[in-house]
Amino acid sequence: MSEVDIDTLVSPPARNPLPRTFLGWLTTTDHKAIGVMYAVASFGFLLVGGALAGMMRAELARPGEQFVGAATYNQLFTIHGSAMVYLFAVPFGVAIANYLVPLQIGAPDMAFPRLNALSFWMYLFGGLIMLSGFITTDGAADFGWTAYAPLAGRAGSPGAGADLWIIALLLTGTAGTMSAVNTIATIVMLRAPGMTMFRLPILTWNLLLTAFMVLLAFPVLSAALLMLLASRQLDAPIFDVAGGGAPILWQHLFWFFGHPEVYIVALPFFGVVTEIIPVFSRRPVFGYKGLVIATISISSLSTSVWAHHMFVTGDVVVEFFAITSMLIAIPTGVKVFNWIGTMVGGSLIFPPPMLFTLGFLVTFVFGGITGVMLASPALDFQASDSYFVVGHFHYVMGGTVVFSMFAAVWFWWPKVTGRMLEDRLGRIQFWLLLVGYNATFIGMHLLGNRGLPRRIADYPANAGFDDPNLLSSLGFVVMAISFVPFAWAIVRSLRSGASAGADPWHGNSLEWATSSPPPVHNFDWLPPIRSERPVFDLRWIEHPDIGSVGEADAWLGRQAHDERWFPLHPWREDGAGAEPTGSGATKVGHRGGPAGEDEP
Amino acid sequence: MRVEATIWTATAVFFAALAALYVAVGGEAAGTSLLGIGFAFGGIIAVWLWRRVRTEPVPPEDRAAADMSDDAGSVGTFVVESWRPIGIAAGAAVALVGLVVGPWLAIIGALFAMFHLTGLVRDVR
Repeated sequence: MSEVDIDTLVSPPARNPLPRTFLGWLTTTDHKAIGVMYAVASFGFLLVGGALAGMMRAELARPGEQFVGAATYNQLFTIHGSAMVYLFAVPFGVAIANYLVPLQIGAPDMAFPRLNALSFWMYLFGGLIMLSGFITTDGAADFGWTAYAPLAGRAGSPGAGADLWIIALLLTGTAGTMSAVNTIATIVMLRAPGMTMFRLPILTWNLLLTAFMVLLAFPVLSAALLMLLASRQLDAPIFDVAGGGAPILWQHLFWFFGHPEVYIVALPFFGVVTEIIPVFSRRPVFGYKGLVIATISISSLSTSVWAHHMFVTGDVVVEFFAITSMLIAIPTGVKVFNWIGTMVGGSLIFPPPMLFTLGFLVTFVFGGITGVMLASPALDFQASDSYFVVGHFHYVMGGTVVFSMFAAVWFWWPKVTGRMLEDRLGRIQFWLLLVGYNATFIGMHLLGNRGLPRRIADYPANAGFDDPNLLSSLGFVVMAISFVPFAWAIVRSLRSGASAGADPWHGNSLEWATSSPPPVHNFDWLPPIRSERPVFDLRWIEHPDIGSVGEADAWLGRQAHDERWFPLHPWREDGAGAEPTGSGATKVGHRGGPAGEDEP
Repeated sequence: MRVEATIWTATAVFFAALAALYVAVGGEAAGTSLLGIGFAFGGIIAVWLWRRVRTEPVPPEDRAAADMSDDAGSVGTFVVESWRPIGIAAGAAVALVGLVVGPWLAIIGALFAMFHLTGLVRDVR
């Protein structure tokens, strides 16, 4: 036998162990259920943010005000940006962290399951509160997702929608901080034996460093928001020059959060593509330690570049921030180099997850290059607050998130549901999305080059703005259409998908060593962990050319005996349902010894 | 554990150096204090981890040749379901909305959140 069939080693649960009832979803503390809820909720907010973008593109398709006035338009771009950044991009990363971190490190759950559930509900309620601004008399917040002082003060934005926006971000920010604590505690404390730090999947590394940035950045935002709330509700003159305050303080605090934030958004998705490329290149990831060091450098440097968003204020140390901003391109370039290096010489195949990964690479590199351009103050003075910035931002953030989100969905869908998605629909979706995406945002770069400022509802006709705007709006339509084959693939898969098996892609990391969907508390057993690719080792250990060196020898020796698999976590239920509070059901996890030794 | 401790130590050192550099090039007060806080955060976690490295034996997850059976025994207690998280979140959301709507709503929300927070603490075994 040359290849071990993992399906013979795991028994899939009779049904998906996710909650079955509505009340079950409300009360669950299972990391997989919470991960699914995060993914579904953030996808919902993506659709809301997309709908708002559609209204803006409809308005901007032709010159003149057709559909919405300037006041409504301000609300649209504010809530579009806020929903996409705070309610979609970051939480989708949290969804990935929730579902995959325990699976990838061989843990039964997150370290703090109830804190995890609390994070999710605070995030969801926060998101709904933000959107509820639309039903107040003055409408939703309308000062842009950056909420600059003094515009965001009571004089500039008197409506209750602004307060609801602040409250929403306080809730989602706190939720994000708690999630970060949970992720760090899980990765530091709950790794399986043999899962050393330098055997962690790169995705888990990235999520660890994302959590580290969240810990640093989100409390700063919360502090700034409390100051803003105090200045609005209690007349605290924090951002008011007349009262001795400083409006620029808001910008410093906001961007000290805001720039790590874009890496908080991006790093989980960098991790996603780093998981996907080796699998479909049939090669180990190129430069594992280089990638880890690059991620550490990015997350450290990300905290030193905030004021490059403030060059045009004329009140920051331009040289310092220009140099740090350009420095950050180096570790990012290392990552791109490593991704390409992984593919070079591989035997590549292109199912949908790999296609979306390549789409990510194209848009991310494009957006990254315009980012280096904008890091140069001389250029930034020209392009600041123009559509060039909007185009750059959407390429680097939207491209990263949307393409690798779909890569993640197509890649891990079989693990989550136990069903496959149909490849053909994925290809259709990918090409529609690629064309629509690039048409939309290349149009915005052209507009910026021609001098169109951002955040305006109307523009003069025949000034060179008509055609790029139309291109951009048509691109949006194509992008919207690309969601149809996706929805169709989801529906077909849920109704009658081909059964996936434990490891449909021949993956590398531990989540593929358990059944699809994983049982309650994830693993019935774990393979020995001897490299950063335990499942690859497991699959190929009996191949005559592989596994005959080093530590694998010990493993082969053990394999000859019946003690090949050490059962992990034979869960026993203690006192389920016996608690008067209704909150008492727990399971105590036991890590097993050699077979049969650990019967409760 | 040693790797994690090193990472957090490096974090603290990085922020200390960056804060010093920022001051040297004429940075303003907000950024300087935030970078200083970065130093403190990293330092706190680093100190905790180094104490663990010193006092605890090398855990199985840090040993390259560890077997699953090396860590046999209880991994931990994991609550399966609880009404407390959604209760606290709902209370906190209502309390914050109360800051806009009126103090009466804030008080109701805060009491609701406190009730469930107490419950959460008491549920722990």
